Amino acid sequence: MHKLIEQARQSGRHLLEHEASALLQEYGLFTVPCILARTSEEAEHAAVTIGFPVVLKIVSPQIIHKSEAGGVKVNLVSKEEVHQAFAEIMTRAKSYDQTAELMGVLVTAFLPDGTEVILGMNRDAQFGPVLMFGLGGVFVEVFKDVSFKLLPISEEDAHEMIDEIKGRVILYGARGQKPKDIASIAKALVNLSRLVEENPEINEIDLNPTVVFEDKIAILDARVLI
Amino acid sequence: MSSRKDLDYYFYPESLAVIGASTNPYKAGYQIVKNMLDYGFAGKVYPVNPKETEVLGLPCYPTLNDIPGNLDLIVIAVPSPNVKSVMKEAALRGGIKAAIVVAAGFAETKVPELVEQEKEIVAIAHQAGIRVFGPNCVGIQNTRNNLDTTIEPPVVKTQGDISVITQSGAMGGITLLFMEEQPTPLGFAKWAHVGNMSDVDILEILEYYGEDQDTQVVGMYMEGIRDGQRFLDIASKVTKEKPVIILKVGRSEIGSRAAASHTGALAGSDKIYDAAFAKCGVTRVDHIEELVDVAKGFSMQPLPYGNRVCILTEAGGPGIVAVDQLGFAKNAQLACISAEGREKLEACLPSMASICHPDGYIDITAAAMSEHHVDALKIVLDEPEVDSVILITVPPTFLPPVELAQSLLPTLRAAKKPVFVCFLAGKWCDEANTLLEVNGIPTFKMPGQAVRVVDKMIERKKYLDKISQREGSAANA
Repeated sequence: MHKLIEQARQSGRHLLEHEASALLQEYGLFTVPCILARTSEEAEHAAVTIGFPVVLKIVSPQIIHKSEAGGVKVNLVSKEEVHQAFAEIMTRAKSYDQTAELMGVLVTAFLPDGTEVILGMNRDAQFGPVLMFGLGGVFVEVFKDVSFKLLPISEEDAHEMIDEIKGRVILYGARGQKPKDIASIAKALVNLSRLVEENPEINEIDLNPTVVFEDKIAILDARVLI
Repeated sequence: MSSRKDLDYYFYPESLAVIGASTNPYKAGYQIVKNMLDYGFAGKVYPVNPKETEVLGLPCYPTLNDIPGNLDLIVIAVPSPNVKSVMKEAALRGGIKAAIVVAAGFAETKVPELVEQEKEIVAIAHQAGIRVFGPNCVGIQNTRNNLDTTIEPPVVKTQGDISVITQSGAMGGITLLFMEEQPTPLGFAKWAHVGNMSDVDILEILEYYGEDQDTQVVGMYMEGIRDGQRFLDIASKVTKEKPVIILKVGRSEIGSRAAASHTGALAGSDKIYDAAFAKCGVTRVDHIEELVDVAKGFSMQPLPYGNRVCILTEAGGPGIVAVDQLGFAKNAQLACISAEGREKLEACLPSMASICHPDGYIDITAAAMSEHHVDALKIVLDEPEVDSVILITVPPTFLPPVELAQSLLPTLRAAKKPVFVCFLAGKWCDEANTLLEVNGIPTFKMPGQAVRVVDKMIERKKYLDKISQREGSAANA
């Protein structure tokens, strides 16, 4: 068993976001650089290290839906904004769940607009682990425009997954836009498949959002449930 | 006979008893015995009923114990409250290998006592080495030994190489009716309705069909399965050898709830079923007509080498309809015709013919006579970038369909690539369609059907290519 999973299991919780990032990185799945900050001062220091603008996100084993808890602040451009955001996140998180253990915030780079996609894995009662891919936002929530494959998948399978969604035209470059980095999405799906195969303790993975640019992809938020 | 598989006792019993056999034509116990006699089952048939001395001319036995000699299969056609005591009787008699329980009113009701009763019946059977089909099922048909334990509508049974598995007796029966209604009856090998699957389930039958010499194509009506991993394992094994076509209901949320209450099967998310079928090479269809069309294609034609389809039509409208449908196909694409091929077509077709607008679509027009059909077909079949052909014609008054079919047959029969034929003019073309199908050329009433069939055949070819590529690279690694 992977030591990060074992640790989380022993403390009876899911993987924390920075742990999930570390695990994903071992499988070639790169989340945007992030630093755990326990205090407002640490957050400022992390923001300077990463470079402005930055995003602050709450870190708490009890809070899975961070936005819902008011635990996410984006596009922070100065030290002052970082301090203010830190204080606000802590207050809101406390009122969202008074029993929640607040470990601090995760500071990450705020990236320019790209195309949001979702990569995920869920366990089906009948068929076991199933990979999911789709465009983010309204495409997944309203149109349910997602594709599924049973594990394990090859790179060819990954490309099929991408081609199966109706919104694929957006990735291939619609309305005069340049095509997005589809090869990197495919690689990420294959890596995700390998990660799940080798770590059967994982019940659910949500890389949401993952942002695709013309030359790279960036995983902005990773949830690994065990 | 120790080498016989459990299911052999269902499909090839040497002797069988019908418990609850009756002289009343309104009872299942009468119809089952009648089916056996009418169809001419080769083995021994023993009616069992203490109240009768004779059923349809056969001596009737009071109990199972009174039947002399070997007894392979029992068909239990008594009301549900009496099934358990019959199974006990069967267990005491000994030597019985297989049982079919017809009555409904067990686990599918979800009433705890009835669910329990079904379990008890299976436990009694298993202790005595008896396998159980059902309850809530009609059982088996086998065209090789004229076996029919069912109460299905009495259709003519044509021998063929398609075998059917169904979770609904009615859908299974309808499938056979549609097959029989084709221009030339599309025959079947084996047929099985599993009901509640208290013991023998669709997967065990699928595996059996996979190893069955008489079965080349498997068609299945599925409402749900209980063990996804076992399904993937068995289906992957069978689809390597033969196509497995599944009509799985539960596409809509409400439909999947209906399916769950029918057989008590677990209804999973439909999209996950799609993913599972793709994983193990199952050909999924949406309705019975499509199941029969696709089975016909697989049964009669070789798999296309690739995805390039040439649409060759004598009638503009139906040709355009076919191209239009091809535009929505998941796998099929219009073929490419070489410059040389276009020249050859121009040289032999009427001047108004429209060649390759768009590429791969050829309208030989209503001025085309038999020889134009034949020449054009030969040219496109010779094209290196044509993998299959859909041939559409609406024979006008001056072109009798049978004559046209006769002139096409030598080329169609010699073709190494699959050709799907649509002679479109209702009864005017019935005889021609029959003639084509007798000669192994599949015909379809509408071009859209042919497009769907070729698309599914390409999907299977792609799957097989992917599998062999993977195995090849695994062997080299």
